[in-house]
Amino acid sequence: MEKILQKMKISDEELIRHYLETQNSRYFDQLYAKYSTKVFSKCISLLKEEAAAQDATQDIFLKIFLNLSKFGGKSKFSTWIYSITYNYCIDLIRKKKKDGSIFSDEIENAPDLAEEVPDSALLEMEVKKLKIVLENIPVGDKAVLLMKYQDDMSIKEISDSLDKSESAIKMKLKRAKHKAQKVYEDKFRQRPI
Amino acid sequence: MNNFQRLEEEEIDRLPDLPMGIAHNVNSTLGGMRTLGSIVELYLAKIFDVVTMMARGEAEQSSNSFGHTGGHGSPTEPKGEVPRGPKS
Repeated sequence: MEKILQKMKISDEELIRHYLETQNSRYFDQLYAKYSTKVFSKCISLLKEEAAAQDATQDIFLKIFLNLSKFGGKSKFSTWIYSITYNYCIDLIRKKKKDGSIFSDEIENAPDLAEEVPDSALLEMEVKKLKIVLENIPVGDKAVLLMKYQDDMSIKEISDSLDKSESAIKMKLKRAKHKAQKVYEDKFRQRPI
Repeated sequence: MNNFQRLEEEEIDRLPDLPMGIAHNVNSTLGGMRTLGSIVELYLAKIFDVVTMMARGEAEQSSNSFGHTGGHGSPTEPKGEVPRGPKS
């Protein structure tokens, strides 16, 4: 059956509809197989611990399937899933930190930065260097950069996902790019030879 | 594909296998919740009826006992009837 479904290349929306109508675990398996690796990868990237990422992946999928009927199809299903993933991981890190400073009022109250870092400054980094840069910026900044450049989410989608205004997200992105560029310069350009 | 997406692909290639048990756990938890939901759906209305009947019974009892405090009527009179007056 799964092979037949794979051959038929049923869309996510169709799979969701079939699952909601029949509650058949085959449709669950299809959606899980399609997205579990990416969700797990994002969890490891943000949480940095394999065991925590496994637990998070399980909780996230439970959350996804419990709320599946609420997916309205306004955005892509992948965008919806990744939003849940980012929010879950950010909440988890926030709870661990206990000071709630990941997204805090820094967004709304931050002073405007004069210079805008061009996208090309990030998009032209070597993959290995980009990985190091992303590991050395705050997790909230990393999350918005991944949403924008890895998952191709629009400002509107990011703002809906994080429950912030679009202008706050633009400012957050601007600051995240700025921090990423600074880390890059500190790590690679000003390093003594 | 940009460098962020290439980074994701490289990370996925190096990713440890996700335990098979996770899908099973999620699926069985969902199944359990569905069963619980069905039970609640099936019996909740009946439980609600029983509670309503019990509450109504108590209310009637208390209103009857209030009716007898004036010394009118008889404790053996059926519920809901107006206590009869003295025979002429």
